[in-house]
Amino acid sequence: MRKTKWKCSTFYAWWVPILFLLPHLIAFCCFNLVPILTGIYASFTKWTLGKTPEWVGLNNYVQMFFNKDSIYYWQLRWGMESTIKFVILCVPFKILIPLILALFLSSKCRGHKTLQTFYYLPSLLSLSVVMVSWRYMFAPSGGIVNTLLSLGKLNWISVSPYNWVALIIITVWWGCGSNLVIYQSALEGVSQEILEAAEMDGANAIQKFINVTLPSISFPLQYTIVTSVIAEFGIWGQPDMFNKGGPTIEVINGVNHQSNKMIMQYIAESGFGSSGVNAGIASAMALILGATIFIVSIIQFRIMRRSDI
Amino acid sequence: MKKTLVMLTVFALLVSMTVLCGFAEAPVEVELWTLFTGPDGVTMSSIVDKYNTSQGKYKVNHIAIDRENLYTKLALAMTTPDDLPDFFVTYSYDSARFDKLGYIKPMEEILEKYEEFDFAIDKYHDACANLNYANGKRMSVSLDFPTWGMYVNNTLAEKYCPNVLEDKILTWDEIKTVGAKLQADGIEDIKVLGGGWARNDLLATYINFAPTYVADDGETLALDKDAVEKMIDLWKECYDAGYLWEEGDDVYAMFACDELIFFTNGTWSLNAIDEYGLDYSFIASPQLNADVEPVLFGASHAFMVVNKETSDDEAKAMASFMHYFYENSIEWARAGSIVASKITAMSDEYQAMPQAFVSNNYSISNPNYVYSQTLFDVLDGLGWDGVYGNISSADFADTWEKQTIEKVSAQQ
Repeated sequence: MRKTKWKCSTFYAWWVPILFLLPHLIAFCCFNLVPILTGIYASFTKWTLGKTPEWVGLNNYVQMFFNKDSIYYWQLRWGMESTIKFVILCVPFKILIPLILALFLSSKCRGHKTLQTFYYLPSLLSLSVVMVSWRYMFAPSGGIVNTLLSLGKLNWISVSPYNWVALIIITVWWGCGSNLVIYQSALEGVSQEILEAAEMDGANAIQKFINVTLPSISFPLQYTIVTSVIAEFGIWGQPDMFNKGGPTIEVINGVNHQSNKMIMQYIAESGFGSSGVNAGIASAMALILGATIFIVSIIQFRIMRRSDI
Repeated sequence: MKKTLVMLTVFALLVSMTVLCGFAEAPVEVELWTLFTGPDGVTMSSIVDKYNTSQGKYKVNHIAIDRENLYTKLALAMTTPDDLPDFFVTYSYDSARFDKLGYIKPMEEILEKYEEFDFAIDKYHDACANLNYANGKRMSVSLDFPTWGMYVNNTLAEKYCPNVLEDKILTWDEIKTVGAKLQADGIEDIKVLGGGWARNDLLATYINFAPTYVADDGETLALDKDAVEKMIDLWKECYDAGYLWEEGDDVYAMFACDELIFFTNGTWSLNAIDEYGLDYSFIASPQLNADVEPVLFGASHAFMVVNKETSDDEAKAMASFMHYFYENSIEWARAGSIVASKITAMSDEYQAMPQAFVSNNYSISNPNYVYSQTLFDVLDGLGWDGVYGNISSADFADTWEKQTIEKVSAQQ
């Protein structure tokens, strides 16, 4: 009798939770774990997909980190450099602009619901729709931006730094809707009592925002900063469809450095290009990018925890 | 009881006959992947639909995939044969590379088996005698020869350079002369030449300076860097002088609005150009010398059969469709193609088309380098950088060569 009881409790304690977890575990293994492990394995091979992968050990990493004669050495450097530059330039706007808009909407001004829809609308559009539209708008000759601002034939597409400005405008316009919704719901939760108390103590609007609102929305803020950084590290579609990576700005060892070509573009080029597949190099680059994002996220969390944003 | 038994037997017979008839009538289906998207994809789908309705034995399922994705999907599908198509269309210069990679199998297996369709090489454009063979085997069957040339605004040309319309050849010296004259006359809103696609424009000029970019083995890159530098310097000289379009200009719009006398582009744009409503003609892209017969840069599209187990019925279905395409290439020609089918090329309707002038008067240089796609992709990445002055012509040549060699070595 005691034995049966023990069996039942063991079953409930171990197997029932596992049964509940099983669907997720299966999905996780199929769509996360196996691809990650395959990617790690592929990064140590020379693999054209059509043939069996050939084990090359650390050769792909050696090429990318130490062989200055290899195109992949420069692609990794320049790709990471452009991506980090983009993250640094873009993420602050992706946080600040939706936050300002959310604060404005939280004042419940007339037509705020319509405005909210209007601000969120771009997030629903597909990448190709966004890029084709903006490509036309930024066209140097006849583009609506140059026409409206009387900028003549200013080349937003293939002249630095205008290509960067255009890419940031497009990315912020397209992506600020999702952060806006998060900030709006967070602002709804800010205690009115504390705000009123601060006001009675003589705090002005800026003081109330810094000392009451900001600490109250610290978790959503942290979340959006981390997710925005991760998302922008993976930027690929906008520069690829806008100007294919932009103009060449220098040539070193027979490799041309394109102004705004991101690491994901190099990965896609090696892994899926029409010139043939180099899955080994593409996987190694992707793992380096993944590791970078992981490290940056950890640092972000540490800094935020310490400063208690 | 007896009655029930009879009824059951009749019912069983009816069911089995229906099922058998169903099996007998179900067409043999084959899957065709092509790189034709946009208007070309619509035309190809229309040809496939007409083929499917013209007979009931075979059914071709056409799947249009853009060029880059087609290559990736093929590579991925090689590891999961169920996802592979039965045959596909890409550039014939890929056949040698795909043969090496084991993606395709010789066409001879099919063509010799179904002689009633007659795929004799002499029924196709003369260039096919080389293009359809790789490693001594017939690996492909050509559809067409998309060719790079130049559209001429006849009204502007008659006004500013009538001699070009006489000999149908525009030389680089003439570009400089006409450009200088336009500037001297104070005409700023008309440019001599607009470049449609850096890769094809530069390759078309390169074959003016050097006969080839590949060694005799077809696998070793033999890029003449001196010729590359001359090619870039020539374009840059005209660009810097202000005879060409400006960076950022929409050259299509400029040609449509009478702002360009000449506009380089492919035969595939014939229908689009036609819609501009201009009086135009199609000739060879700019040449170094008017006395030498122009050679145009082109690349043939061809059918290739995937290297997987194929039943006799499936093989016959593919042969039947390729034969149908041969016989009915005129619809493909109407979309602006220089067709491979001689029977179509000799027809009166084809001879009245603008591209017939090109196929009748010029030779077409087709890439024969096994890794042509890599060479072209690297050139695509460099684009007009050399002409716009972002990099020197020497750097342009070094970069083009180095990146091609390294990317090719990754595939070997």
